[in-house]
Amino acid sequence: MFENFMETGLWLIPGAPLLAAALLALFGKAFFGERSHQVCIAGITVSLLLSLIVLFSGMKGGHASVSHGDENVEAVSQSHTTLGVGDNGLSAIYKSNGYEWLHVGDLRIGVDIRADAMTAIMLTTVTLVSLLVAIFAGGYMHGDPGYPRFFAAFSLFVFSMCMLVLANNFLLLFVFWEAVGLCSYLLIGFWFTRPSAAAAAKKAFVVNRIGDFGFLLGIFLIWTTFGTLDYEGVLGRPDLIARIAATSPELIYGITILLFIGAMGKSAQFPLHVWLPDAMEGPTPVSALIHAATMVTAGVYMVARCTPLYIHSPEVQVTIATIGGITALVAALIALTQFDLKRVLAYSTVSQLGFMFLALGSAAAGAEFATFAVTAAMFHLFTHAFFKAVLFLSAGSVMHSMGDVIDMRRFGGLKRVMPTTHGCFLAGALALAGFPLLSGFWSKDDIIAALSQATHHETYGTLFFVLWCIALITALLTAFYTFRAYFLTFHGPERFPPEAGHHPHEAPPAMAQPLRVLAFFSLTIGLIVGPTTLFAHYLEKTPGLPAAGEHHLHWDVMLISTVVALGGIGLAYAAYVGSRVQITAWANRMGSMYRWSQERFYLDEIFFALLVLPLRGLAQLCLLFDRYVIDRLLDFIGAVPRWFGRGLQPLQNGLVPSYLLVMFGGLIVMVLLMMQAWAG
Amino acid sequence: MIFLPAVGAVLLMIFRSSETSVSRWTALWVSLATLGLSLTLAAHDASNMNQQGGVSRASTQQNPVQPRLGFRHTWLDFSESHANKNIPVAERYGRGLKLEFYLGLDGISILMVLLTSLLTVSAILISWESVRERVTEYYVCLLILETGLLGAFCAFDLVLFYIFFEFTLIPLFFLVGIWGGAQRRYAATRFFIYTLSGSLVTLLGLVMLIIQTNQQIPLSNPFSLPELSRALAENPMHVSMQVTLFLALSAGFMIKVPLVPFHTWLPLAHVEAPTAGSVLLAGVLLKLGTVGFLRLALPLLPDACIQVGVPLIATLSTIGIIYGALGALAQNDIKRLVAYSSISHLGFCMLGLFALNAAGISGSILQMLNHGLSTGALFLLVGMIYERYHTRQLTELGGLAQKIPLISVAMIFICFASMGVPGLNGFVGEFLSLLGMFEAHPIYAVIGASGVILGAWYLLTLLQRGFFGPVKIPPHTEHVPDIQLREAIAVLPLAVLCLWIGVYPSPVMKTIEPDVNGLVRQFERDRTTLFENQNREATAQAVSKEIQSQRHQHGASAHAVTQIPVGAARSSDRDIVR
Amino acid sequence: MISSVEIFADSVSRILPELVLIVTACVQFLAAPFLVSSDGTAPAGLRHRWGGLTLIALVFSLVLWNTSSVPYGGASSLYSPFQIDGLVWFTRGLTVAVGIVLVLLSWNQIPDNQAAETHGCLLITLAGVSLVSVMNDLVYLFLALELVSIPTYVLMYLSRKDAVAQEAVTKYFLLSVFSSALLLFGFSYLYGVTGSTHLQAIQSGLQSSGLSGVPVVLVVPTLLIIAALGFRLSAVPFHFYAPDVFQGTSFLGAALLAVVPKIVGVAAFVRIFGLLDTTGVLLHIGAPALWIIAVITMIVGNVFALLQNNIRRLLAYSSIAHAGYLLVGLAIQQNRIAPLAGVQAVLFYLAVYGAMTAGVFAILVYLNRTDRSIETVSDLAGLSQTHPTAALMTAIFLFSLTGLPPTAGFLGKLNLFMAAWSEGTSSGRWLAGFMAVNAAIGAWYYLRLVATMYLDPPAKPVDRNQDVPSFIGVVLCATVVLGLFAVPHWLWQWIAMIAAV
Repeated sequence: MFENFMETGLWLIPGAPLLAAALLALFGKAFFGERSHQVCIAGITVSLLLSLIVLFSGMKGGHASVSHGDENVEAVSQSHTTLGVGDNGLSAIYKSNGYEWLHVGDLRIGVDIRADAMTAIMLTTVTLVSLLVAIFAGGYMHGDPGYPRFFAAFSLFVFSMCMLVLANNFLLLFVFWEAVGLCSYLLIGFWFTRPSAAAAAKKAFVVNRIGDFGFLLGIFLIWTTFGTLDYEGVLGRPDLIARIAATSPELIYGITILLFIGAMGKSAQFPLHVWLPDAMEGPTPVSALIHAATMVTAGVYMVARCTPLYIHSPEVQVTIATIGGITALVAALIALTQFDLKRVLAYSTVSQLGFMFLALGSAAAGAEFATFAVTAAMFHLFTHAFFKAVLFLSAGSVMHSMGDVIDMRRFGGLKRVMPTTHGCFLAGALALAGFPLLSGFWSKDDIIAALSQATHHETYGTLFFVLWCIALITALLTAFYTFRAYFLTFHGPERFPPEAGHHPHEAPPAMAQPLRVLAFFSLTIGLIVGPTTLFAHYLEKTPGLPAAGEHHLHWDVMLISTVVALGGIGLAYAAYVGSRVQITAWANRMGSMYRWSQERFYLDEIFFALLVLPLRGLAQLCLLFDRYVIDRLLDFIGAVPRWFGRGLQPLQNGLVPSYLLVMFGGLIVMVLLMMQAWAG
Repeated sequence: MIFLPAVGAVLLMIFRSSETSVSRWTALWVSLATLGLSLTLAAHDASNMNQQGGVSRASTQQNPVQPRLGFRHTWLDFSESHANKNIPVAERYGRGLKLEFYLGLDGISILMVLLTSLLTVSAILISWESVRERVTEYYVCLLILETGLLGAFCAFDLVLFYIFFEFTLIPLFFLVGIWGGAQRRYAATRFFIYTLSGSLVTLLGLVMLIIQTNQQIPLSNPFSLPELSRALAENPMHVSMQVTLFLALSAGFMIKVPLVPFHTWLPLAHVEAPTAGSVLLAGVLLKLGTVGFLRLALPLLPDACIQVGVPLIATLSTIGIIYGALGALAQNDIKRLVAYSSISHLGFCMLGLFALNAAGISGSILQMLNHGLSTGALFLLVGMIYERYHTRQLTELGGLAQKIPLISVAMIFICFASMGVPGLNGFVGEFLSLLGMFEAHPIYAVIGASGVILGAWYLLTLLQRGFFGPVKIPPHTEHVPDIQLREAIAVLPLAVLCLWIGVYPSPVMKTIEPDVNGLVRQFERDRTTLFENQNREATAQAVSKEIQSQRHQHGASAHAVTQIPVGAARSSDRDIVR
Repeated sequence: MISSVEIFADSVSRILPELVLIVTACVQFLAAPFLVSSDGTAPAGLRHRWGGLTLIALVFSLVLWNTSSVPYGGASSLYSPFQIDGLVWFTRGLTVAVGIVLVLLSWNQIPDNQAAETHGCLLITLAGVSLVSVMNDLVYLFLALELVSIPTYVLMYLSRKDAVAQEAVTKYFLLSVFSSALLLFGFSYLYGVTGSTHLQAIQSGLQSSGLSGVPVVLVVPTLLIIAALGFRLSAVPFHFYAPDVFQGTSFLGAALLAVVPKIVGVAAFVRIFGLLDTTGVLLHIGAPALWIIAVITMIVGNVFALLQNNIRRLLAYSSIAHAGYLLVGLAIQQNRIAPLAGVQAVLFYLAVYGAMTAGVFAILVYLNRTDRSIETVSDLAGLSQTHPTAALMTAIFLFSLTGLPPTAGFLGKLNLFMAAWSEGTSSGRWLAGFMAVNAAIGAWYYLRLVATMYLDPPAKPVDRNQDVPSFIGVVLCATVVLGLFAVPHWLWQWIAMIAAV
């Protein structure tokens, strides 16, 4: 009976925020006004509670198949366990079929949702962080004229994100993939009167669309290859994947690389990461939720979800790892020199996402490691959501009190003025830097461990070694820039910008409480679920993941990363608290390197020059072509009869003799012609 | 139903009233009545379908084209001319040549009829105040145009289709020419001559088609589309003949659609036309071209479609998608931008059509509908903006979201629908079209899909420049009202439909399913894929309860199957040479 | 044997409708001088009486047409100069219909003192047209043709008397005489070859002699006849008179010239070339020439029309272009399995053409006033606002001339297309193609007229015109143009009957 309840209950997880969004969109301004956040929070709370039910029932039940027809799938999957691909088949914890969305020919797409272990984790993360951020935003956005609009879009986002993770087929995934992009667009451009916000929103959407283009093609390829888009039909049939991979591997490669392009767009991987830092134009809660904790991790989720496909294309996995590595390193380098607090965090997000992809890519080490690698990525995703959210919200709190000033050069020493924010930021920063025993530490360790396993790979061992080194360097840089930001903001002499007014204040309780909760999670969640393998064991229940090996703690890795993290923090302390002169000298010594980093490696400019400009030029060219070639050609064709007429006009001279002459001449010519024709 | 607007128009013409409001209300009521009638028909059809059960219907349809409701009336019977005594009676028999007044409804026409009648209501509402001169004539033109459009969608006689097809030129010519912008005369003339030239070639093609068929297969009525399509499906024409015919028929349709490079009349006509004209032109009139392909080229000339249609049309429409999008990107005039976006959207439409499979064709039909709704709504909104600020130049506008928030919200919504954001209608059509094409010829779909990126780009640029950022409006337009109730009524149904089709497209799909299946069958005759067999096999095994006994067998088969032309085999390699 | 009295009675019965017209005309000619006083003034309203009489005569002949049921292809047709068949019925009907419109059109255009002469000439011309289709003998045929020509000169002179008109009439007269000479020359040639002037005898003679060797001899007469009839149809290069004369004469004269000679030409053509027979030898010979002429005529007509500003000149070229379309139908050879014969298409088109062209002229007459004459295209500017109904009618005619639905012009062109295509040869297909191109060019200038009427602001305010008869003519023509589109079967059954003979 409980399960029957959950079948409908599952729909409530996205449904409640959707209802909230609809209510707010329709009656927000007239009816709810300043109470809009309550509607939103209520909706998300319902989602969160139901998500927790799903999470815990998953913990107990394991493969509890509810929906009809699942027995078959499961039966098939059981029958293939002998193939040695591992625990395959794709049965859900909960599954519920909605309505038939599309049915064209062989193509049947239903609005069906399912929840399994991976979904449950994602759902819980999403709804929990959303709830906290929504509470925070209730205080942060207070007094904004677009208050109801903000929470409408916010709720819509939560709905879309829940549906994204609940989707039971690739098309639905794509639908909500784009829908979260849409919400992101609306929220980045929330302050649409600012040209920079409008531009950033557009940029985010268009760059995402480039990724979606790949994703869409990937879906097409899945359809032509598998003849279905349902997870059961694709991911749930490892035997089929294996057969296809054996005979025409290019199909699997194509699918995986195309899907990854989609993930690159959404998860801001190099070189499609350019939109994410600009997205900071949106309100800070949005940055915290969408552009740090949830939406940007959709790519990671998708690749993780498609592990059954990826394990058959190691080359693609290596590509993923490489791009992840490059992203992690490049973003970390850029983050070193930014003075905009939110931008530092944004680049840090990009860098951490790179980490996650590094982990996913390291699954190339072999099918038996795949689960470990995926677990590492998902674990990092999980912990990252908390500590990045707390960092962003703290930054928001700083902004709120500094009168929307975010340039770290203009304020400092806020430690005493904003003790709560300071504490929470510190907690987040420590977690991000990978301070031992905090959440970031455990997840990062897992990733580095996965990488070090991958270095044993026979073909790509060397490459993975390089990536392993990159990961360590990035970890060092992460610790450094995080604490650079921390020290610049909270230490040193107290300085306030004039915008802040006379009395910079601590965050109001509505903002402080969620901060504290998040900080608490950042500090402890890793320790609770990490070393206890709670997380790993839970995630393993995700259908479709290959059987994992033994879990054990990697003491060596932990040691190295501890050293790295402390080293980074120490360096930052030395540079920014110890003596300020030294770092400037360093920067000067680095010269062009420093400038490159500060200017984000000129990637935006390169994009502009290589893509935007040529396309704009081409567009102008099209217009000119229309105007001067096609239209001229048409005018020409149109003019031909006229010219013809003008040429012949002298014949019509009004003189009878000349008429007679032409008539007679015509007759003679015709007679001659005909004579020749008939006689000849 | 078709002639209801015409009757209204005639009444208006006869009792021309100096009181303009009378004309307005009459036109509105007539168009509403038409809408009501078409809704009734659609509902009737839907209930019929439900009674018979969609699947069984789909399988019973034998002809590539078969209306569900029909009205036939012999119009001009040429067969009597064959009472020539020199021809023996036996030979005379079955060589009839009858023009028929043959109207019918199938799924495609139901959708198009609904779209037309809905957009006409919107068009009348939007011109309520913007048209102040020669009001009666204006509504007469609109109603006559509606008649022509409805007729073309319902015609099941080749010549009748052509008649309505061409007839629509006349009222639109007046609409653009009389109530248009500064360059209206040039635009109207160019539009008229250009499309007429193309359609004359089409007429020639039709004549060719009929005569050739008639000489080959004795038919009681070669003008009747269902009969002709059945005859040709059983007894196809020679391929080279088909190709010639296809090219001739396409000439008019390609201009009408319009495919690049035959598109230049469109932006001009759109920019100069009054709002209502643009709405109907973009929303419905362009569909005459695609419906032409769908109705005539696909069922009657299947081999030519495969041999010439796919490479030619698919290439052109792919170019059109990119070209139109780039053209839109470079525009400063909102209306021109939307016009170019039409070219791009119609490219998707044609791409899907020439995928020649169920997904593609359904997607294409849906895309026709979608484009009608979203572009129609876009033009409505652009018209509202123009009415308020008397400019459409993006350089002169900015930050409208602060000045006219509700119109801006509508604009944003429709832009998203137009660029194919999932959950709204545009996505479904584009997705299916591209999916269909990908199945058939991946390369076109890949290039075409990049239009999705460009689509987002130009529409968001439009939003960014016109609606966001600091306020910038022409002087003396400080206090303009936001959306009026009348305008809201014009736009709202379109927006609601956009959302509805995006969220729940199944009813639309069900409506066209039998027709699409009928069409597709002739393209799929020889298309079997190993993969489908596998699929079937796998499903069978899944359903089977004897899994234990099959385990080893299946395990073995996984290794035994050495060649799997998965995917590749799904392309339509039909043996063309006969 | 049949007695001469019987033959006479038979003959009279065969041409009774034409006789009615001729007798009426004679009455008018004879009575007119007595009603007009010596100083040339006539009682006011005299033209109404004469017009009424003419109308009555036409209607009476129409009644006779409908009631005289001479059996088709009676046994005596070989001995009679008059042959009654479907073609005659068709031509007669068309002539009378066109005649009614022309009478209505001329009603108020002529001064009272000339009404009798004008109407008389008109009646004789119409009788001539009708007779052309009846004649079964080359000599009679020639006479009938002249019966059309001569009153036309008078009529043209009567309706407009300035220097320009005189020049036009003279031009027409000279060129017309030249064409008659050509025709006569051709006929004599034909007689020389076949030894008979009787058309059926000629046909059967040509058929029995076979085609071997004969064609070369027949080329000259065939082409001469084509040239002469081409003049009537205003086919290129025999078209030169048309623009000049149209411009120079009155609307009435132009209307007459635009419609009547076309009917004559087609009827004579069908007769002489034996188009109703499936094996027309002469047609076989002349077809290539006709093909060339048709193409050139279409192109020249349309292309020149593009350049015109004078509305009558424009219509002259338009009529030339339509002559080209008619020739398309004539150039098509009979094909046993063709579903549609060229001649049927031509006859249908002829009727449609008559209605729409007469309609256009009627409307111009209706609009033309002494204080505000319609000369150039721009004189029509803004018509839709000053004369909405007239503008609508004009638009209908012009769209019909363009060949757009929902007008009969569309069906006419469609029929021609189908006929050309069903010939089954590549030359027929090319003809259809040329026709399509030309229809597109043609649309250009017709559209320009429509645009001028509807899109341009009115030139100057004008009061409503009260010329009721011409307006009735306009409405009649418009009804036909629209009606033939809606119920084409009504006409088509007659045309189908022609082929059935």
